[in-house]
Amino acid sequence: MRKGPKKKRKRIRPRAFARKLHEALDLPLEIAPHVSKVTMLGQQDLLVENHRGVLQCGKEQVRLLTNDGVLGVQGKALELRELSDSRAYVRGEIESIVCKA
Amino acid sequence: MIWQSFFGYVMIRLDGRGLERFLNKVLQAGIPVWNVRRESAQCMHAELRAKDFARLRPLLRTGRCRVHIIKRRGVPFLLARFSKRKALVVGGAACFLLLLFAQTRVWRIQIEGVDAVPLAVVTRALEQANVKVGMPRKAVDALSVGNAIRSYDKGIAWAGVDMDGVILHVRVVEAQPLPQAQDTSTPSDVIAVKDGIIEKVSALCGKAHVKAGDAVRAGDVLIRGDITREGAAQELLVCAQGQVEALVWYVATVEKAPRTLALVPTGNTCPYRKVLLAGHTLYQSHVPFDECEVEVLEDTRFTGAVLPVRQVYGVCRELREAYVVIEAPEEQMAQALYQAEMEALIKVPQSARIVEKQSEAIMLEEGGVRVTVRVCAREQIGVQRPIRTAAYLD
Repeated sequence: MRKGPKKKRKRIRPRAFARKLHEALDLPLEIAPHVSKVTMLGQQDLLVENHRGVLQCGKEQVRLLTNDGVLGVQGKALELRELSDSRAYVRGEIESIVCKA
Repeated sequence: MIWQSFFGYVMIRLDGRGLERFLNKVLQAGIPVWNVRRESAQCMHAELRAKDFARLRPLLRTGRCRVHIIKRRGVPFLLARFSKRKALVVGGAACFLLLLFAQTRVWRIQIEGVDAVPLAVVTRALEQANVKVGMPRKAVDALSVGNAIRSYDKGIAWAGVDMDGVILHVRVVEAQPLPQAQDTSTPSDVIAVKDGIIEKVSALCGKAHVKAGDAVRAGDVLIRGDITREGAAQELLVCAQGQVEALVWYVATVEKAPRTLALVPTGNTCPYRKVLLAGHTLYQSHVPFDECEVEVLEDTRFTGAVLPVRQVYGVCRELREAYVVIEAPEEQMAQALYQAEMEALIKVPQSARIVEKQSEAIMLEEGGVRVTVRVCAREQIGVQRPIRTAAYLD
């Protein structure tokens, strides 16, 4: 007996599911653990929460891996003022911030 | 940073390749780092807790970089350094404890406001109230000590006690002397002590010798104590008493020359600094001028601290005597008028009431000005004087 083509099961991605759950329950996205939060104060301080690691750390460029892609910070005299497994605090003369999916 | 200094942290240098990879391994191990700076292509500086440095060793085995400690900061390292100098630590702690103890005691008693009352009286009053140098500050009950001082001597009308750091301030207000009781047994007249024009005479005992409008000179009898009737066989003498009010004129004249000698600034200045401890000068900067005036820019007091310290900072300007030419006659006249007024008012007693003030200015031929100020005051001019008669002296 000839069997038909196998039906592909739709794979539920955990992040998409978590996002849909947040939206369904009307919860603020800020408390979601998978969402990266970027806070900038003036032009010297940048706080990135919920990052997944450091890709590049230099005086002119700092690149961080986030759940949504790569976050690049360009400027002068950049340094990681504070670095932990969930928070990265960049300080220096920030000229631009680039997000790449 | 203060929190990390308390527990100790190290500054490290990472050399090699794959520095970001190593950083990510450190983060995954749960080791927080801060002040991460790239120094060159294969060199990076960072800071981490001292206790986390030992946890880097297994991470370094799998990596391609090396770690060196550049600096060690924090209390644990400081204590380790001082562990070899125990005497310094013990001495410092002892000084600190001594200072803590010293600031709980009274070390100076400052008494202000005494003039007629001897200082020893206030000191004895304080001794009686068990207040002395070296006693605990908290044992001083300002209210009760003030009452004890006030009740100790009749010459003290009020006493206030205030604690300022380690200094006890005692402020005393002396009582005004009571008017002497008049001796009514001695026959006496009321005479004038000053020249004036009588305004009002109120004779309580005796016979008024003057009336309103009369001009009297110092020494003239105003109220007579001799009230003997004409033709009486025996003289009748009483102690005259009464109030005699008169208008008295006080005059002051000032002449101003076209130029006057005054202290003028030369333009030279120097910084001035003075440090006082409990009112005593600890340090005063050297002033190379003979005559100078100090302009205070900053006056800082450290009250409530361990020791009362005051710092005065300012600018010292050199002054020199020089003849100042007063160009405008109006300025000369204004200065002379002001000076004459002050001199005239100083002569007026405090109990008198000023009724009128007149001023007159005359320009002198040689260029100066002469100003005369007359002040009219209403005051009591009568004073008792015993009658000296042969019968009385006998």
